[in-house]
Amino acid sequence: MKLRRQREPQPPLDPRLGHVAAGQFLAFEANLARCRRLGELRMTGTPAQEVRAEALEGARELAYVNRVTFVAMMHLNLVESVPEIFNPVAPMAACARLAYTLTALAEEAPEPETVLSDLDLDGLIDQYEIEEWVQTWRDGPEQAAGDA
Amino acid sequence: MNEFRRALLDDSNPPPELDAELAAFFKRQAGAALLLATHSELYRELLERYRREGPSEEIEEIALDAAGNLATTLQSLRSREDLLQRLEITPGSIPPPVVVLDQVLYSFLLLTGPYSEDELEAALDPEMLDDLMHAPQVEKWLAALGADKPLEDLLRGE
Repeated sequence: MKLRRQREPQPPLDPRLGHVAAGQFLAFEANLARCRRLGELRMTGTPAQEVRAEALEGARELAYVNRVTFVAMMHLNLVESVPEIFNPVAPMAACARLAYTLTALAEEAPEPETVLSDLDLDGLIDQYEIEEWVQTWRDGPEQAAGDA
Repeated sequence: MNEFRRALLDDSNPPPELDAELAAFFKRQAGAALLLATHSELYRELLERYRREGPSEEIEEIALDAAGNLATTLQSLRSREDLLQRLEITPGSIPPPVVVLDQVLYSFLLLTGPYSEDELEAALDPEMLDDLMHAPQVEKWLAALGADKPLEDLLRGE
């Protein structure tokens, strides 16, 4: 008879981390679309002044979300208590790259390589494993323990 | 083309002991260290001014220019996550504290746009900035790249 492998009991996740993760994902999704749209406008000759307000609004949204996440990770001791698969570090990096792009799009003469192309933007989801991270959250901690 | 930003991305004059890939990365790190040292001070001054005077077009221009400098260097560093990870695991190397640089960038961004109590609260205050700048990894990195000198020396290029 095969013995079932004992599953390690998982400590409950701090619910504040769920709020932080949700905010991260929503900001990423909305501003990925914004980067594409504003990037296209700038590439086809729209002056910076016409996209600046919206580009900065998006950059500030990402800045706010990432600052809140960073403070939560540091001061709520989430660094120690968060299982790696729920860790928001990769989505924070993906959001950061969007923030850099939007900052550049708000400027008159940005350094070209600071503005991510559509191809680069498409690549962020794979590079930072965003879909896997979202799925992990959708499945929840118990499923994640079972998969371990 | 912004000459200052071009210089931040310049790959010239790396130490001879670095392999080709890390050598290419070296100058960008030196630029990032200079930025962190100078822009952390700029941020302190701008935050104080913002708190005293409230938001203004002039403050927004300064904040956006500073954020643009940081964004240029950070996008360049993060476009090579593979090299960042190599630096993390290479004994004796000190990877750039990109997350700390990010916090300064975000805080400049939060000084742009219409006044928002929530956004201002989320920005670094001087004590938080001190904590970040005095973190051991940050101090070691700045020293390794020669960016721990007095600000006036850095600005003179010494």
